[in-house]
Amino acid sequence: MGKLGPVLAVLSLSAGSALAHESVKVTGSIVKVRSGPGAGHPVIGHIYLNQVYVKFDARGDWRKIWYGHNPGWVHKEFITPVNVPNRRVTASLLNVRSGPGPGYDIVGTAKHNSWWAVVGSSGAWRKIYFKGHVRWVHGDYLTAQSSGGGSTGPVSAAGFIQLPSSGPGYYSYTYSYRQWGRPSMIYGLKAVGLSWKNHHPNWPKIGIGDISLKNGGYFPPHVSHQTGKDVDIRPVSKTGYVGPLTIYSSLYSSYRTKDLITQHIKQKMNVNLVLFNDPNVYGPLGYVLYYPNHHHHLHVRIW
Amino acid sequence: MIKYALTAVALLGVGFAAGRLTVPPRDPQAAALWRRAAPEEPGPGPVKRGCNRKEPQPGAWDPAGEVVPEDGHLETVQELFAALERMAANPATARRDLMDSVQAKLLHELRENPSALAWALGRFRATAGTEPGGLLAITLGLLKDPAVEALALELAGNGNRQQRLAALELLDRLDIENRTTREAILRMLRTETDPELLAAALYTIPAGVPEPNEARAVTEALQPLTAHEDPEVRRRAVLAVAEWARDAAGLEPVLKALADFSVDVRAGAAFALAQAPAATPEVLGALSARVADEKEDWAVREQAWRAMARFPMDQHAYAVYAAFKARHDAIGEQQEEAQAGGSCRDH
Repeated sequence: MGKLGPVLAVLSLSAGSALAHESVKVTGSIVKVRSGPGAGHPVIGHIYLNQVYVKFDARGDWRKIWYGHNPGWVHKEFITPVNVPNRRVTASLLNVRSGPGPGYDIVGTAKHNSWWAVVGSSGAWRKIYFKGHVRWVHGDYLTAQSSGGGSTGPVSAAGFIQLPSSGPGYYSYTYSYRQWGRPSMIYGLKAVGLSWKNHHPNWPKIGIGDISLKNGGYFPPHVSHQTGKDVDIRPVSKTGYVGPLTIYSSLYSSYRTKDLITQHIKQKMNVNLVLFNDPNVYGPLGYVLYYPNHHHHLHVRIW
Repeated sequence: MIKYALTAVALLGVGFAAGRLTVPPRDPQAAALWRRAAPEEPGPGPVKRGCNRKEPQPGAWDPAGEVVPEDGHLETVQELFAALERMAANPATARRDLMDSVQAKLLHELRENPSALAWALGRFRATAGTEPGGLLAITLGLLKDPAVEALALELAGNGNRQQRLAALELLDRLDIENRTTREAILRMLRTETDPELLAAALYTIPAGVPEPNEARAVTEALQPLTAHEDPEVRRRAVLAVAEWARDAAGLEPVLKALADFSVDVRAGAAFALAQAPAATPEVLGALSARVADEKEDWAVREQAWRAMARFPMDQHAYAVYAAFKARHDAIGEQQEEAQAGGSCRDH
């Protein structure tokens, strides 16, 4: 190729990136999915006979598909084009559930602009293959959807309101000027406190920390906490102790803290995610994630 | 330099030998050495996402551990508070677990040592309304001590405006069920004209189960404020009225507030109806109408929808409830990307 070699290589890469999104069916019984286009790349999972995914890039004999939260590469020998509609995710991050409804576990998340072959429906829910399993996502957040509207997010002119420094079931452990939030946050926290008190009158109150400043905006030392949708909450002790606590303390109760998250916070607030580092909590709960520095508080984000 | 290194090593030796952290030394250079030497996250552990750092399993080691800081410099409550102030003044660099440790120690001192409490009360009197005063209020609010309550009541009644606001916030933090405090707050609600003070006082009314006459007195003091010109006063008054209403008639101002021109007041009224002791079919009808109104603000509709869940519903109300729930569930499927890979500071 002489001097044209690098140019052709670039053109080849460009052509690969510009491939149309195409549904492909798995033709091998169990096919390896790799992190890169070649047998030398690590295996990140498997896909199975007759499952359908979306192909969107190519390198030599390897094809890139949307496999899970991240894409993966499979050998072209084991997939074939198929006439199944595919859809793009329009949400910034979309829950992937084990069944068709919000009562089923969140088992993963699909990225914005990722593509999925829709192989079935149940009401507003769409059936896809995700990391080798049958999974479900809400159809309102896939393109080319004819669900009859409802895809726009909530619109509200409500302003920030302040959390009272104490109330049934909770206390504040920060300045009151750092506890402003959207109505769904403040009323959600009040409802959580009340529910906590009613269910566990002898357990310690919940410690509530920073939410946002009065009008939102930059709020050091936090990266987030700018929109009235984030709150820090202390872990719960196994005694009546009220105060600072880490997951390494002998006073810390994994059981009570998990109860707080699953039976109260998740029920009373529009939980988007929780950052917290107790593996007994983030392990079994899909919406709870490990994140550095979250061993002394739960970070709850709502939508 | 060697001196600083030795200081840091010595402090670490004392602090970590007991499995506890100390607060950094005061000297900036020694403190920098201390920070460099102190492990940010002790021990091995899984990293699921975010920054590439490790943390131990629960129970493995107690880094902050509700601890008494063992730095010999922090023997007095004044020094503890000064350390807390220094850390609070630099939130971008302060470590939350260290602040928690110092606060825990301060709380312990105030509980156990009458002279420490006396110092703190004097300090609060002098600094109420300032940043240090607010910091002290966070700790004093956890004490539930009559001396703290008495000072807060005194300042709420006779202090300057800043002191009164700070004292009302402290009373809110104390959350002590007390008729004397309740009566003092009610007097303020009847006579105060400053909207900010009124709003603060409305968050301060001690809860409880008073005798019927007292409950009536509370609602009578609150009801005029549900028509106050300041929407935040109205909102807080509506919440308080709902909490104290003992029958359907008592909820009238709250139902009326569902039609307030302020979206914040309407959302507050909807939430208040979910918490109100009295629940009637009329209340359900009003909530259902808010939820069904497509032109209504989402915040109001959502609070009204959550409030509906406590009522036994007829077919029509349930249809409204279920339709909104379907929409709500759909929106809930959308997530925002966690800020993984960004700063490792606290979220």
